[in-house]
Amino acid sequence: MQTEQESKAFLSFIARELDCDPEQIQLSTEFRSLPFWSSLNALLLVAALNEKTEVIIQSSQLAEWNTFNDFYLHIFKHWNGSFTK
Amino acid sequence: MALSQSKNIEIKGCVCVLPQTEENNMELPFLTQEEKLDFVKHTGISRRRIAKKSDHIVDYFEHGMRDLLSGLQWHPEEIQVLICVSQTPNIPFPSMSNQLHSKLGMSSSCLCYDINLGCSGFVYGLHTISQLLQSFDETGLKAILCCGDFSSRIIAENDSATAPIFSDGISVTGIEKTSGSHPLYFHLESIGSGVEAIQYDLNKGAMHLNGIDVFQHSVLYVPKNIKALSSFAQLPIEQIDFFILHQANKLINQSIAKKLNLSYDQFPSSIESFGNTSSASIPLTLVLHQNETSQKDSTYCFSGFGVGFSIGSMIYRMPKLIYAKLLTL
Repeated sequence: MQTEQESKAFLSFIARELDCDPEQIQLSTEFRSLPFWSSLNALLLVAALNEKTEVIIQSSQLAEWNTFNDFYLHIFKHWNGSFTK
Repeated sequence: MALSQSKNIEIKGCVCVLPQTEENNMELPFLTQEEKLDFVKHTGISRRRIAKKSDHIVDYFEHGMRDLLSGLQWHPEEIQVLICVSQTPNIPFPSMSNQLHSKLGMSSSCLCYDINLGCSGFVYGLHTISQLLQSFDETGLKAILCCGDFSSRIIAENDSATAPIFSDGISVTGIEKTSGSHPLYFHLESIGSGVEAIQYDLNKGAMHLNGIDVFQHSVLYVPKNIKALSSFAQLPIEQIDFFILHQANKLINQSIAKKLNLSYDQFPSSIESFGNTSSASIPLTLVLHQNETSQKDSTYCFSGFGVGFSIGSMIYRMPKLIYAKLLTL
């Protein structure tokens, strides 16, 4: 079970990679509705998450996801680390 | 089978031929200014070369072959093996190797055929040729490996995910059976789960590239492939001077460098000016690097990966090429 601190650190990580204000995104944010979301940004985020956690995200999985919470759940299902470190 | 070595084989020279026409990714009509800046920053691809509609890829191979043969002082009749690796032949048949064989008046004893592979094709082609040459008793046998594509012919012009990546271009490499040269170590793999990552879409009549799946297959499998090859060759990765990877995009190659715990400075690149030139990207980068270095010999790791999902890596302590040239047509 991840803490609130962990989810904040995760969202800060996402915001940094997407080059946006952390206040702009929540776990419940539908990422495709963000004005700056693009296929390149999706790739950059997948690459950054892989570098940090070694977790693989397939395009077929991403196609079924809608919110950053889907990323969050997938990452912590396969990774025991922390974004706070 | 995936890991193998070839002995007494030497790469002697390489000529690359690119179209003169350059496209600048900052001038693409279908991306916003911000998207263009982001694309160039993260993929590393600023400019690309696109062949004219009237150009034929086989003519580029012929131009490169004639220049290479002249540069190496080889005669067409001496060539015993001619292999072309491409997925965009000018016509479905006869093979481009047979077309070139006829154009250059080569010997009837020359073995000719084409291989259908993309970005891994240079290493696969070298493996095929080195194994063939090794199977003959004589030394001094000569072979030519032609690689490359006119990718613009199979990409939808307004496909913003694919069009800004690829260039047209080819390479021609001269290989000779010698005695006493350093072994070539190979690791060839096929990853079935990635077969749809890059494929020809019959409905679109063009290439479909899934960037995320290409990235994931590249960073998951290529570092492991290179590590296993390094172990097989009994050569620690730290002792390899340069890693010339297929020039897919900067993001993938930087990620592979990080997973190998290596500095990106050891990864020569041609991607900024020439984009992704398919199976010609490794020899193109090699030619540019060879023309910049004064070292007599260097240990290289070449690794090609892409459509298939096919991976071919090779480690080779290579004497400086006798002839290395970049031409435009």
